[in-house]
Amino acid sequence: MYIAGHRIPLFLSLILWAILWEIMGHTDAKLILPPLSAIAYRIIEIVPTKSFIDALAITGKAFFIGSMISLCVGIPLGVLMGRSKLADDLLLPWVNVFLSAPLSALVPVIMVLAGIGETTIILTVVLFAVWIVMLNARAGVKDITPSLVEMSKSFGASVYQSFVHIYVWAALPEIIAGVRLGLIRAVKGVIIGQMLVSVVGFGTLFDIYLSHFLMEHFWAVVLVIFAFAFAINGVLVWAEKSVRYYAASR
Amino acid sequence: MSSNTVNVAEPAPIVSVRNVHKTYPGGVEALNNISLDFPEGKLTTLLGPSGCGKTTLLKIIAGLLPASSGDVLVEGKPVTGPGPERAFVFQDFALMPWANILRNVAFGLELRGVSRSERESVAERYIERVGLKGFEKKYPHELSGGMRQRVGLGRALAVNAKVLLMDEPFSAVDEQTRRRFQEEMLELLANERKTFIFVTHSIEEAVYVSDRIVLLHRRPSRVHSIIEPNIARDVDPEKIRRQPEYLDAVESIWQDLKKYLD
Repeated sequence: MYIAGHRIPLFLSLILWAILWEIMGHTDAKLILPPLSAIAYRIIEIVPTKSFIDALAITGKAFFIGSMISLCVGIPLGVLMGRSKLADDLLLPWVNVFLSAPLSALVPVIMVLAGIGETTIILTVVLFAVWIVMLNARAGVKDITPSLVEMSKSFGASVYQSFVHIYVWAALPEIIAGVRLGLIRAVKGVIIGQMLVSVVGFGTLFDIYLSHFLMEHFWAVVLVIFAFAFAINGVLVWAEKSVRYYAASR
Repeated sequence: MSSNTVNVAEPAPIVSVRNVHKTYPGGVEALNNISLDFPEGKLTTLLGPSGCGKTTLLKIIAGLLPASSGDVLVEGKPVTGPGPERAFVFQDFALMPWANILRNVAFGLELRGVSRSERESVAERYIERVGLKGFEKKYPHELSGGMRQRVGLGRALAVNAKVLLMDEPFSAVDEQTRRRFQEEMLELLANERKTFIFVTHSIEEAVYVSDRIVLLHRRPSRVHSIIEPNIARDVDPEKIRRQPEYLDAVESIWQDLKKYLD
């Protein structure tokens, strides 16, 4: 960002918005938007409490398991789609449908199938995350230089060896991008799942805070979750950069 | 054709191509009834205009492509896929950009399950042989095109295959590097007891490096003639290009290929 020829660091814009929020919080808007300082104070107060730690643990567990399932299922299926026309024809329509569908509408269906509890949350996470992971792994594999595949074949690589030594690595830049987008969607999934189930993790907290109109508490939890999503994104952007040295020369 | 005459001095063929046809899905005919012998320890070049099927034939010999009909025999055994007695050098180098030079050169051995210390010591030897000592820990994108092809060559040598299949290996490097490579090819040919099957579209390159040249024509793709340039190789490399035998061979191939230009 440049103002009058001077380069302004990006975090300054964050500070600007934070100041604006603080000012807004001291007007009549404070009923729904309390001052940022009050929320920051509330974060320090809430985070060490048992109910918050419990909610975080439950959420973290569901997020972790759901994400792992998404990656362990999504990456191999995506690679398979990139390699096999049959698999691609079978799966691609579904991937595209679920990628653009309003998935929240499906959570009640999962609830009917899996009950009101952890399983539903995990399945919701998978439902949100897995498709973009598949699509990116597929794109990465489709773009592999054919001679790299021929090379591994000519030196006697088995199907498994080609997969481990060539496909995964050659598609890694796209796969990591897919993992990043997938994990961000997984955060969405875990929160939406908990809110719809509303008796689990942060869902309970949101339910309590909103029904008692504790806006400071509510915003405190929201900001903590935003920070998590932001951190996950940051780590994976860094991971993407670390494979960029070869992404352009494949 | 000299290939059909029985000659006692002729080394036994290590690779034989028998009545190979190749038709690509969609009906494009790439090869029409090709029969060829490749003598052991020699460098045979497949030369022809683009679209004559020379790379297709090389990939069929490599076992990377199936023939539509006919057989390829390597040491008397029919080819059904790639094998350890053949190694391929790729036109676009086909290096793994995420692996350093040491690992790239050792990759063939890694796939065979050779232990790390053993394959790395073999790879180091061949890295030195192809003139890349000191570049073991570099990555392909840090190397020039010529150096990358040296890596490709080192990788093919490291598996110690009897037959080296080279698909226009010098076409993606600049002219000066190309000449150096051609000279080094001759050294390699003299020092290694290997059979080379070489694909190129450059007449000069073919005549310079080859013991024999197979001229392929297109539409229909078939063997037009086999030429043995018979050039004295024990002289200074610069002198080879001025030998009358060299110049005559280049000229006669050119006269042959000229009529196939579009």
